[in-house]
Formats: sequence, structure tokens, C-alpha cells
Amino acid sequence: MKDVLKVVKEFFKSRALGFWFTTAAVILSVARLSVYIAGFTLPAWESYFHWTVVFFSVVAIAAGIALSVFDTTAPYAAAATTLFEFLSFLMFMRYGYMYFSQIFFGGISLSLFFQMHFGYLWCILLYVAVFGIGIAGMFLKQSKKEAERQKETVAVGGEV
Amino acid sequence: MSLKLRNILKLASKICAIVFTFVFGVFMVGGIILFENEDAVNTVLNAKTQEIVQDESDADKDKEYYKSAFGSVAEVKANGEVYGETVVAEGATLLKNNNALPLKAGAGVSLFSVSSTNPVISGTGSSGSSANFVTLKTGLEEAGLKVNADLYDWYEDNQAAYGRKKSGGTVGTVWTIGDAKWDQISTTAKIDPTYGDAAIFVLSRSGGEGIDSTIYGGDKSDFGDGNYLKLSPSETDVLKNLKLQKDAGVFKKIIVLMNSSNPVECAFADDAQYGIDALLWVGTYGEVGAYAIGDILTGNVNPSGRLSDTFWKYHYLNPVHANYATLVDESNSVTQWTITRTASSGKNIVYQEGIYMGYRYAETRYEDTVLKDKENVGDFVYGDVISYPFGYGLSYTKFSYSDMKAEKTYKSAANKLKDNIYTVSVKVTNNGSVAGKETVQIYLQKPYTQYDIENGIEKASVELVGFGKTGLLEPNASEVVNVTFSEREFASYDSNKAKTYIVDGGKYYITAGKDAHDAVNNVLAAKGKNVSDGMTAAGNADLVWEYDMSFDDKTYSKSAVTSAEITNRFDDADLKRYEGAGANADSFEYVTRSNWAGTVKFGLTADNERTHEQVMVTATDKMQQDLDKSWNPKAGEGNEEYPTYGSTKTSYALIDLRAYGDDDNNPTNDKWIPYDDPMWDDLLDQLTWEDTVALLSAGLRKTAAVDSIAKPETIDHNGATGPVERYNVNSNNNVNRGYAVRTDDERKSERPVVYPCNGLAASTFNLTLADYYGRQWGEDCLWAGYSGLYGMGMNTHRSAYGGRNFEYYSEDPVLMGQIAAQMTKGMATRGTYVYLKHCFLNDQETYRCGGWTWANEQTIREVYMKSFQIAIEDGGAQCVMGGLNSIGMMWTGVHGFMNTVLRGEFGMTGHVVTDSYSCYNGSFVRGVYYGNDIPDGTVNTGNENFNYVKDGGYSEMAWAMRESAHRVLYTVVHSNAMNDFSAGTRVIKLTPWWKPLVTGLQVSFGILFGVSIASLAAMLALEYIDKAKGRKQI
Repeated sequence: MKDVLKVVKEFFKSRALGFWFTTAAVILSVARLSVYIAGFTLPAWESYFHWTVVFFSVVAIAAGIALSVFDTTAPYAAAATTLFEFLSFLMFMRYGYMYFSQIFFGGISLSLFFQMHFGYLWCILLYVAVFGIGIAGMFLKQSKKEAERQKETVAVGGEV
Repeated sequence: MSLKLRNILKLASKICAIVFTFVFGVFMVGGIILFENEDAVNTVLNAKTQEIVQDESDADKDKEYYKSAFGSVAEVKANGEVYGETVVAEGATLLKNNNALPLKAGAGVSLFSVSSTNPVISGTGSSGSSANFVTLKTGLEEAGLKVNADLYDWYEDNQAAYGRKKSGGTVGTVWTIGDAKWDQISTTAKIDPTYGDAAIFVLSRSGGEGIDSTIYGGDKSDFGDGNYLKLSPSETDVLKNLKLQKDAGVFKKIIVLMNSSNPVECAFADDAQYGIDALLWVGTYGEVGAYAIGDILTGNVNPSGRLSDTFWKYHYLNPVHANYATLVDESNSVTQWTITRTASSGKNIVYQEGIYMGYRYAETRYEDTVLKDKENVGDFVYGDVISYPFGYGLSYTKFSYSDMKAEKTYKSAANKLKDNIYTVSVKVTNNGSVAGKETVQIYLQKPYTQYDIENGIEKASVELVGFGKTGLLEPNASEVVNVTFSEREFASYDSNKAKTYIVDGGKYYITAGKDAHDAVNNVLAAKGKNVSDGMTAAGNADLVWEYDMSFDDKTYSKSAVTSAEITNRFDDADLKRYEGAGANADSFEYVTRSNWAGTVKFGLTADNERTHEQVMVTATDKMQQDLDKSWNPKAGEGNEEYPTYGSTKTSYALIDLRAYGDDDNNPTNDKWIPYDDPMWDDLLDQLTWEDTVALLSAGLRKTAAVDSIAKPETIDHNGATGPVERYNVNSNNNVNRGYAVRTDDERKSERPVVYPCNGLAASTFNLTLADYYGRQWGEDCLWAGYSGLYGMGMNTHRSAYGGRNFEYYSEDPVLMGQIAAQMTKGMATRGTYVYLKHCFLNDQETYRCGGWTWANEQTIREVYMKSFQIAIEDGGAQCVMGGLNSIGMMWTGVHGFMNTVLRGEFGMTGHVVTDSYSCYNGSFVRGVYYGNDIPDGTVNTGNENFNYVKDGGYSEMAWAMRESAHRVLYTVVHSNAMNDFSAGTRVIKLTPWWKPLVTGLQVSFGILFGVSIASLAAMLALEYIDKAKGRKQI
């Protein structure tokens, strides 16, 4: 058990800033998925629910976690999470856009935006957050080893 | 390749991959959404969607089933201007006249208020329109008056500073009042004795779709106490100063023009501090109404308008306002109205006042205070409540009534009457010195009996049952006016015991009144009452006809049109009868004349403080279940045989189903092939599944094309105060086959005349004028290529604050129904079908998207649905537009009354379109099963589509879809859409130009996406290879 904890501790110690962005994106994805399920499995909201939204979110979360574990795949974790969350977002919009026309039927305003059903409001805010953090994570190094290699490379006039 | 370059490429490919993934994804989903909303896109882009190919060898290929009486847009518009002016001339209502009017020719007048240069000529929203209107200055000068030009110019120059302003878009516009205070107006301009014969103050208010006016809580810096329909501080300041100037001899008279479809509280009219000599209600008077106003002010036209609404001293005294939408308490639901789909959200609008709205309340309570035969009448002083009663209006002459007679004609096989008919005749004599027209209004009083009290039936003291108008009567001339009405008017709806219409046993009074209050006074006189009993004026018992009836719960329990049994259809809208009401049922009482003081709950106090006596509704489990039912799209289960699709047994074109023969001179005489003719079955069998779905899936301002039966796409468009689109609307897409486009008229890009508000049309009380006014609308439609018009606006003026009151006619269903019925008939002569809207209880804009409206069945049937009934049964209106609201918990489209009542009882033959697809509270697909036929939008969006039906197990739905298709086709085949159609005419559906473009962009971005991903993959692969070779990597 002690060894396992040590490995885990070492793992986290070896992670660079990009890893934490990826982790944040994954956590926000989990939060968004929870909000979606809570909001759209209510009987009156079922017609806006679609399984593909959940499917792509689950893939995004799973990919983010799985790819982050290994040094060789960690650089792709943020990209995978962001990509699948984006697909989830596209499905979310495709099956829910009629709701927006209801909301903004009389005109578009910020106050109406914040009057939206909590499922819509929070899903949109969390999607945006995941995209922002995920894209940033794609340009950051996931492990300190990786960051050090970059420094060495830059020092010899290589990769930027 | 150097490492540096490769890394730059890697970064670039990474960025490209992100960007193109985003763009590709957006275009893919965006494209799907665009395709799903193809109608809206086509309309916006005016994209060509069909080609109509005539059979050149067919002699009938250019046949016009509905012909125009005109040769050009110029002629149509000139005629439109005549009717736009005539409706104002006959509808504008003189409310007060202390010998101030008419003005002498050549009189000098000063126009006050910023609205004098910028009046309200129409409303806003889908039926709103604007134009280079005739100014008041021009209208008055044309009539021979001299207008103070300096003052007029000052107001015009200062519109930016003092003019009313709006916020929000076309829908949901919020207006300020604005206006300059007395001291802010140029002194030299405002005081010019040359123009001192009269100071004319223009009192304007606007209204429109999407929002109601505020009764409290409005812009207090602008409105004073936040009440939009009350004089503002600026207005009172100017009026007070005008009075001072009148006292000083600068102005001889003060005249107010009330320029609004939403009447301002009228207490000011008799307030001594303003010294108003004359008050003329001119509504929102359209593009050319200013000419008529000038003519009325100068006496060129003798006013003959009669109020189509009650004008209150203070609106808060109207019991409606305890529960009107703008006053609905925020806590009368849990969250905001925009969240329409949970039982704990939305807003509850309870018609607690029952039938007692408008004059039905004021006159009834007045009669009870005089009769003193009921308990708990409470304090009610008529003169403190009502300024001008329903039906009221002054003239420059005096009319007297005499020789009233009433005759009953019994229905028989010989006379083919559907009901016993009463004909009331009254001799009208012009006792004055100028010619004029008089409106005779016939009112009925039903007995209020113990049976009624025990069964919750209410009876207004008087109800309008018919009316007639004289021609222009010269001084001392007389005319006998005959008014007929059906004995059905004697019936009342009993939702509790008989559960159908009953005729109470007792004495009925029929009277000819000059207005509703006059009518009550006549009845009171017949009952032996006089001024000493508390009457406001003596009545004339000679104008009352009494008739005894026995209790009857059979005669009117069946529809006169269809013979269908009439029974309760709206228990689910009545919180007293709805099985899911729970404790709500006992939480309130409807207003009853057996307990006025205990049941009338005003919404505001005299000080404009809000009270909280509205009916508060608490959500129950059953409500939640019903709301869910409203959305569950799987309706119409059944394992019976499906209809036949794609039959080749016959090869009819739609035109083959039009009529047995054509009357070239009068198409309304054509003998239509009946709705239930077997030929229709054959034609419907020809439709493929895809045809049916296409026809029912798209209805945004149209009915869809079906090429297999040569059914063209039609233009069915706004608006309720006359067509508002340009004569060449949809001209590029080959849908518009109106005269203006076909003749390539040089003025085809103009719009029809902006007509006055429908309240003015109602105030004419002139059925002949309504017929010809309808013909003019039909001409506009014919020239603009409209086959259907999203009008008449048939909702009720429940409150003066209704945003769309300019579209609707009146507080009274008979006046509204009869005027609309005549206009519908007039439009039918030009092959235009109407969509009566918005069916129903959509009497408010606030919370219209899914607001839950609650009313008892008597109220629904006798007040809010009756106007629709008259327009359908008597006017032949074929179609309706549903409301965005819900009846009880059920969205109008899934409630079921479309089939059970509109078709079952009223005999409506045409189709139903939803209101805007984007904003209602139930499933359209499910609605088809309940008789709702096409969406005002496009179905097949998101999860909404008919696919589940095709797979089997939903035979009832499949048959319902076929019936919906039948209704659409039956409507269209009898419209002007068939002009130029013969047996050989073909309709070819075209792919609009933008669809390949979108597809091309999707493909292009897909390729770019693929390339960027491939590049990124290549860069990563290179990295991997290098790494494998031991080269330094990141």
C-alpha cells in the first residue's frame, strides 16, 4: 500500500502544469456531465436529452484520464478530452437548440441568458471552461521530464 | 528539414487542427440545423423552391378562379387608402363634446405633444407596419384648418429630445412616453393667437407583440406612477397649462385626440384642472387616417363610431386586473416564464373574473346596485368607475328611436333556418340639423335564477346580440333598422349540472340601446325603476321587448352546424373542475353577482399600490403529469391498418378536386367537391409517406408544395391588421404568383396600405363596410400572392394593457365575431383563407410562451371562444392559428379542442397552424394527433419528427396525419393558389441555392479538417520516428 502511495505521489510530483490543466478539464467535464444528466433526465426535459451527448462526454473523461497516466500518451490527453467534449457540445446544441429559440424568442439579452434552465446555463458555462482549459493544456507540457527535454532541445537550437 | 522548421510546422498544424476541427464541427451541426429549418432560411434568402410548369396545350392553363377588380398596384393601393380612411371616419369615436366640435372651416389650431408629429399609426411585431403616413398637419389642413406651423416644426425638430423611445426589437418593444413639459416648449411657437381657435392635444400610446403595457411598475421617471395608460407628468403639465391659456383667452377650446389602441384611463377627461372640451378616440389610425380625423374635426364627416371597448375612469377598477398577466405575482410560479417545461415553472393566469369583464361587469353590478335585490352588492358608483360605456359615441346630430318591434321566426324545413330567429326593428330618426349615421345596438338580458346561483352560472345584465347601422340620414329623415339574431343567444353554458347549453326559465328582455349602459337603463325602466332608484339616467321602456322562456337543456345541447353533442370540453382549464387542481379548487371563488363584494378582487388600490388578491396556484402531481403529456411525442398508438401510400390507382392533381364546375363571375358560387367525397380518398391514397410528412412538417408562413399532386407552395403570411409584406414578397422563389409579380407592376416592391387598428374596424359597427374592407384585404393578398392571411386577430380585449390589442377587435365577442365574419367573407371573394388567431385565451403577451391559462367553461365558451365560433360558423373562416399558451396545463396544440370543438361543433373545415414553432409548450408532432395540422416553422428538428410513426404500431397517428393533409389540401384547393392551374399544370420542387453551398462548405471544411489532422499526425509520426532513432525529442 505504501509503495502504491509512493508511486502515486511520485506520479503527481512528476507532472507539469499541462497535466493540471488536463485534470481540470476532466473534472469540469465530469461536473458538466453530472449537470446534464441531472437536468435532462427530468421527465419534462427528456426530449432535449440525447445519449450521444453523454457518450462523447464519457469518452472525453475516460480518454483524459487514461492518456494522462502514461508519459508517452500524456501529451494527447488534453487534446482528446477537448475534442470529445467538443463533439458532446455539438450534439448538445444539435438536440437542444430549439430551447434557445424559446428563450430568445422576444430578443436576445444577457438577463434572459441567466434565466435559462440550470441544465442549459451550467452546461454552456462548463463547456466553455473545458474548451478554454483544454486548449491551453494542449500547448503545455504534461510532465516535468517532458518540460526538461524541451529546455534541452531549445538550448541546442531545436524545438520551440 | 531543420528541427526548428519542423517544430514551427508542428505548431502550425496543431493550431490548424484546432481551428478546422472547430469550424468543421460548427458547419456540420450548423448545416443540420439550417436544413432542419429550411423554411426560415428560404424565407430570409428568398430562395427559389419550386417551378410551376403549365401545360401549354390546355385552354384552361391561365384560368383565374379568383380575379382582381383592379389593374395595378396603384389602383389597389388607392382603393386601400379609401378603406383605410373610411374605417377611421366611421370608427373614430367622439366621447366628449362641449360644443367644441365641429371646428369652423379656416379655424386656426395648435397641435400639442410630440405625438402630434409622430403619431402611433400601427402596433409593433408581426402585424405591425410602418409607412410614410399622412401627417396630422396635412390631414387637418386638407380638411380646411390652419395649423400652427411653428409649433409643429418645433415638435418635429425636438423629437430626439422629447419623442417616445423604444427599447427591444420588433417583438417585445418597450415604449416610453416622453413629451416636453410646458416650459420646455418654445414660447413663441406655443402661444400664437392666430391658431387659438383650438389647442389640440395628441395623447398617444403604443403597443405590440411580445409585451403588455405596464399597469404599475413601469418607468416611473417617465410614466409618473408607472402606469403606462395614465397621463404622464409631462402630459398633465401641458394640459394644465393649456387650461390656464384657455382661461387667459389664448385658446378657445381644448380638444384631445386619444391616439391609441390601448385606451388611457379617462378620469382626466372631466377633470376641471384640464378643462377639456372635446375628446375624440382615433385608435392607431393607419397610414391615411389623418384625413378622416381632419374631416371629423371640421364636420365634413359626422362621427358615427361607437366604442368597441369600455373606457374606464381607472383601469384598476376593472376586476380583470386582479389576475391580468402583467400583474401575475412572481411567486405564482417558482421560476421564470421562459422555462416552460416543468410544473413548478411558467405562470398561472386565472380568469377569476369569469364572464364579468368589460361592460359585462360594470353594467351588471350597476343594475344590481339599482335593483337592490341581491346580497353583498357592495359599494359601486357607476359614475366613479366608467367614463364611457361600451357602444358609446356622440354625433353632431341627435337621433331618436321609436316603433321597436321584435318578431320571432321559427325554424322549419321550408325556411331552412338552423335556429329560431329574432328580428328586431327600430325606427331611427335624425332630429338634428346635420346628416349622420346611427348605430342601433340590440342587447339581451337573460334571467339570473336560483338555478344559476346553485350551479355557478353567471349572467351579465346585458349582452350585445346584434347591431345595425343606418345609412347617412339627412335631418328629419328616418330609417328602419332591422337586426336579426339567433335564439341560441338565449342560452348559457352550464358546466356543472347540465354540462351543456341551457335556456333558463324566466323573463328575457330585448332592448335597443345606444350603448350598453343605455340598454341596461331601458331594461331597468321596463322593470319600473327610475332615477330616484339610483339610475344614472332614465331609461326607455318602450324600447324593451319581453319574452318568457321555459327551462330547456336539450335544444342547444347540439351544434347547429354539425349536430354534434355539446358537452364539457374544458374541465381541465377550470380549477374548480380540474381533477388535478387539488387544494387550488378551494383557494378562490369566481366573481359572482350573488356576492360582488366578496369575490371582486382588484389588483391595485387607488394609490396604485399592488394588492395580492390574485389567485395563487400551487403545482400538483397531476399538473406535472399533464405537462409531461403535453410533451410526450408518441401519440396515436394503434395496430390497425395504415392508410394507403403512393397509390397509382388514380392520378389526380389537386386542381381536379376543386369544384364540379366554375362560376367565372363569382367563384364563391362554385360547387365545391365535398370534403368527404370519395375522390378525396383517392387523392390522399396517391400521397406517399414522404409527401405527407413534407406537407405537415413545414408551415412557416406557407403550406408546403407536394409535387406528386401538383400542389404548389403557398404564401400564408402576416398580419392581423391587413397584409404587411411587400407585394413582391417571396418573389424570387416562384412561390409568389400574385398579380403584382406576374404583371411585373412597377410598384410591386411597395407594401399594402397600413390599415388602422381592428378596434376601429369594430367601432364602425358597420357590417357592410366590414365586407368591403375584407374584400380590400383580399385584393392586397391577391396582388401580394398571399393565399392565407395570419388574421383575423380574434383574441379579446380582456384588459386595456394587452400588447396586441391593436390586432384584436373588442371586448365583446359578438361585435368582434360579426365584424370578422364579414371581413372573412369579403376576403374569400378573392380566394384568401384566414387564420383566426390565437386560439385561444391568448389575451395577453406576458407569459404567452406556455403561460397556463385557467378559466371556467362558461367563460371560455361565452366570451373568449365565441368570437372564433361566429367567424367560423357565420363567416366561413377555414383556419385558425393556435396559441402559444396552455389551456390549463395543456398547450393549445395538444389540448384537443381543435377537433372536438372547432371542427366537431363549429364545423371548421380547414387546417390549424401553430403559433411560432420556437415558442410553445408541447410537442407539435403530438399535436397532429389532436387536430393541430402544421407548424409555424419546420418540424423534424431535434427529436421532433414523424419517424416513429412510419415503423408501425401508430395507426391512429398515421390516420390523423392523413386527415391533417386532407385539411390542408381542402383549404388550398379552394384558394387563389389555384389561379393559373389546370389539369396539366405541374409543380417541380427545386433545391434552394444555399443548400448545395452549405454542403459544399461542409465538404470543404471537412477536407481542411482532414488535411490538418493528417498534417498533425504526420508531424507526430516524424517525432516518433526521430525518437526511435535516438534523436533528441520533446
